Amino acid sequence: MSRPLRTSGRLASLALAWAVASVAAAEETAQKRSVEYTPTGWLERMDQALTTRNYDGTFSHWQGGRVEMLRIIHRVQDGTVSERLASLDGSGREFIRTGASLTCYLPDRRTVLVEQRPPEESLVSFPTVNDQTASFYDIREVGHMRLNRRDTHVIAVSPKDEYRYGYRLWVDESTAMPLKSQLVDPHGQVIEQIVFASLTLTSRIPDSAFRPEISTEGFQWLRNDVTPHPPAGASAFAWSVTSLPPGFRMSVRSAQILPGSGPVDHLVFTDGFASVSVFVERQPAPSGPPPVPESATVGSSSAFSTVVDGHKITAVGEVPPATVRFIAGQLKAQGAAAAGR
Amino acid sequence: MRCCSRSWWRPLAGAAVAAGVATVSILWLRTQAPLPGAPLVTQVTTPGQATLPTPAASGQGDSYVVPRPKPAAAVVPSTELANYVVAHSMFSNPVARRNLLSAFMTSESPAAGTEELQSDVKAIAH
Repeated sequence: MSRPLRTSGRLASLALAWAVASVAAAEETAQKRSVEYTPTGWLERMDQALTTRNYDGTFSHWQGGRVEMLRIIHRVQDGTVSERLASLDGSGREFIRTGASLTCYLPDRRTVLVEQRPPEESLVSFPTVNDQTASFYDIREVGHMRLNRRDTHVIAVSPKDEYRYGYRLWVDESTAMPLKSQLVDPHGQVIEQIVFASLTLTSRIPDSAFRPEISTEGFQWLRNDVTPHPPAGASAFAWSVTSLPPGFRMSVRSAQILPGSGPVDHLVFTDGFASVSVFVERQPAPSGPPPVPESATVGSSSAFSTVVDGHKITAVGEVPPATVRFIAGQLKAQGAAAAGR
Repeated sequence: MRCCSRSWWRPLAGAAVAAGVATVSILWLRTQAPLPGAPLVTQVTTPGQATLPTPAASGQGDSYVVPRPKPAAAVVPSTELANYVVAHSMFSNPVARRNLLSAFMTSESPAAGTEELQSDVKAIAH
């Protein structure tokens, strides 16, 4: 073979290799972009932004005809998450979380609750959207609009049944932070809304930003002990559910001690988006009239309590009241618990 | 014969006196009866049941307060509910957690308060 021919053959091989590499890179880029820009991808990015970025923002919280301003400061530094949520008007309550410690300042009760979790539970995993989740929600991008002079993608998460609530989220295009969110009931009615009035993403937030503004002089401090493993009184009990709403599964089972409470079994059920906690606590023998099942709401979240086999069962979650009632009603004692009662 | 003719009127006189007494008694009782249209009040008191004074008796208006039933014991006192909400928030997705804690921050302070706290919690002076 002549020398020019060999040279041109090498050039052709190089060109082919470059073309293949380019196509592969283009495909990879396209694939990555398609993952990022699917509605589910936006939700994943949003969750990541909320939990890993440093930010300081002020937002309005609307629920039940009431509007209140709150401030949130979030920092991740050296693997430790610090967060402060403060009511700027109204109750003046504050939550400050530093790693495994969560402190709730309740000036209206002149009380401070301190919940200390074991270090291994400090980075609690939260529900993540997956394919199974998508079968119980219709997740789609319903618009692309300007909000507060920022480009946002509007993602609608609509439940396919009445066991869960839906969301509408205005996700910032460049930072993936949710600048506005609405919680909607199964009929599409907005029941809770959060809108950021200001939001600053910064690389550094000083420690002083995580100190409470209120004076706690004369307050009552309530703490839980660091949870022994397993806490006495709770480990002997085995609780299970006979049935769950479609899509829900148990994701966490732990034993812990809450401030002002005895040992409790804590079971968490999630469908990948919504979650429900069930707390089981031994109920002391009633001295007065027997307790009756009761419902309560905290904002748009629901709670339901009842007594089963001498144990207090409380279900709490960001789901409709019927869902917590259903799950609490399905809890049954097994094994030692059943034998011991 | 004479004695018989003299005693024949005695039963008649006795009957007349009895009839007179009965008539007077009836008339007297009728004057003591309530006026037509006035309510007949029968007080029957059962254990645990409050009796309501009649407006005429108490001199008050036509209103009363229904006795409040004795409240059933709450399964979860408000402080425990707060604990549960906070504990649950650790396992919620980030958006739901923010909603939940924000709602808790802005919720009205429950009526139950200090006594309940002191009765069932371990307080540590700080």
